[in-house]
Amino acid sequence: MRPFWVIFLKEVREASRDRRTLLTSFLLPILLVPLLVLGFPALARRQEKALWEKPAKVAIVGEEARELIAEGLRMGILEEVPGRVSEVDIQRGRVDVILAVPPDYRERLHAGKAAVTVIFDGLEPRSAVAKEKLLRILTTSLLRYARAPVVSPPAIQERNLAVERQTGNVVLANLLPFLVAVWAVLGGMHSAVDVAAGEKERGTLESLLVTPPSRLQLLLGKFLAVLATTIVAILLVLGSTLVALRWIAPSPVGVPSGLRFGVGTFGVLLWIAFLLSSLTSGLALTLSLLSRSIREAQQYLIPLYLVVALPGMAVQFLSRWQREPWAYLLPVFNTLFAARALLLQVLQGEHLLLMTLTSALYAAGAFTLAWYAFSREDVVFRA
Amino acid sequence: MMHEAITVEGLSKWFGRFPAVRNLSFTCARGEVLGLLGPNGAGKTTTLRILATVLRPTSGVARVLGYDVVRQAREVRRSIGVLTEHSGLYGRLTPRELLWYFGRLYGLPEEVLAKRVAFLLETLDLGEVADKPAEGLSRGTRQKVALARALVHNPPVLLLDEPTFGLDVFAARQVREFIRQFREEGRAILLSTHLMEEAERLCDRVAILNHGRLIALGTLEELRRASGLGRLEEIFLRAVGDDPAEPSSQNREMDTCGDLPTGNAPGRKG
Repeated sequence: MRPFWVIFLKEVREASRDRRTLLTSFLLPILLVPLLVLGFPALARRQEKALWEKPAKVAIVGEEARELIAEGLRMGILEEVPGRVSEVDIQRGRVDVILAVPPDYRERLHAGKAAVTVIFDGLEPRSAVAKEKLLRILTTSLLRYARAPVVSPPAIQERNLAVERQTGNVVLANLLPFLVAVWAVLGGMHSAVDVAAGEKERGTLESLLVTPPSRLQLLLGKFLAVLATTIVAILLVLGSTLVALRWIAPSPVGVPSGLRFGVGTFGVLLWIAFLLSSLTSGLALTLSLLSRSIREAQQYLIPLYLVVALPGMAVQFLSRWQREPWAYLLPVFNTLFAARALLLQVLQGEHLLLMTLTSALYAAGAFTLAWYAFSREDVVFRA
Repeated sequence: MMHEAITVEGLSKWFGRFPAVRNLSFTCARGEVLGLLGPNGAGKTTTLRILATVLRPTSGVARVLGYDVVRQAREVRRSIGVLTEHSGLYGRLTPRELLWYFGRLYGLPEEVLAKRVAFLLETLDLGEVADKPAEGLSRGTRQKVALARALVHNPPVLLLDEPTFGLDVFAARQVREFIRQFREEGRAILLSTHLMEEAERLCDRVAILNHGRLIALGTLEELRRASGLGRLEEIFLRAVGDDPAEPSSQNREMDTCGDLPTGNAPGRKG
């Protein structure tokens, strides 16, 4: 048996007997994730409430459109964005919603065939809320036509830039990257602490270092053990999230019957989680190696947890970056953007490739750091 | 077959500007117990760690069975069994699992390892606790498990750092018996200790270190003859001075060999 497998199997055996690892990596995802899924709608509602209190940025195409929403503009519910706009401006966040009337609007109105078009992005909370505000203003405004029986009021056409298949997974797309980010650190945290700082504290590291395998072999075994614990935790997170969304709380979070999560999506998501976990496992192992004791290692790992978990929370609010290639170069963010885009079924092949290459590079860097630390006398015998 | 199992020549180790070991030379033969004596910070553990290949010497040469500890570290590690100062065990593993783990790391074939584990558990009287988690074992039993771990690959050279530290009288006595037995088996044993009585009972020769330097080396008889003192403790105190933290004038004299031998000829067991 190769030495790194010997190390790996021993570390996994020890982890399976460690109550802290069992609790954090395995039990917590099963128990806590459904609660988070249930709590997620409350967060979404808070965000929506805040958006209702801010004026919505509306772009107007056609002078007649301005008359239709004049009341809303005057009351400050809506705010006009001047200049030429396009649908891309909604996705980039410059505009929340577009109200367009055709050039022959007046002729159509007299003919009783007029229609106004509301363009929005149902995936963007700010755009979805802006559309609701605009519709309310429009409905009030169009009531005037009811008092003029000779003319039929114009119809309102809604155009959602998010395709139907995207909206089905929107909750999952907002929730899962955060949960994956959290457990990419939390899942392997105790394992990382145990296999390095724990060995130092117990005085077992020196006994291991005097065995024939190279430091690289020893480190590889430990790294794989941390990675395996992390991946198992993430698998449990994915499983319990899907169970919670399908059977525990499908309606409150608005997950429709169109929830799509096929084998292909699952496979790619696991690949993304693997890349992120490789980076976090390497970093956690490095920090643990640099620590004198278990307690010190735990203190070092808290900032790492924040550095990874906060982007997990932020990606849904930075969704316009998701379409930019440079976003797939940023460590941690690249995997989380990819996971979100994947769940929305808008992940582009070149973005996946870019994310894979950069993540592999970052993970290799983290492992090299751990190897460097493990090769240093002053780190290994730091007392 | 070469007689010397361990050869150290002009060995030095500096940690930054601190000299932990300075120009150390000695040898240890097969079937010999060489005691490394010295106060805390004398360089005993550093010397053992260099020989165990986990620290690189700043200068000088150290060889185990002819293998250089820097250039042939893997061969050295295959030849040595090490009992470290803090012989911690993996608390969630049983002694049997621990021996299998280390045996596999030493690359022993499964059938050989199975026999070796059974032999060690029986020889060190660990049969009853073989399948109990190590975290529940007494200190003495844990030390025996640590010894078994150091012996799992049947090494010809043993580096033992304070093997009886913290043990009760009975456990310490049992460990000393094992060390004698290992010597009878022809192993070379480098034993670091600060217990004079233990050194007197176990060691064929004694090397006294202070401030990283070798200040005396020889059989007990040679040291007694040279110093005119009877007990090792008296010889030791004269060698290191009353305050080992600061070299006394007498100690400085010892640093330049003084009246005690620092010869390198391997002594024979008595």
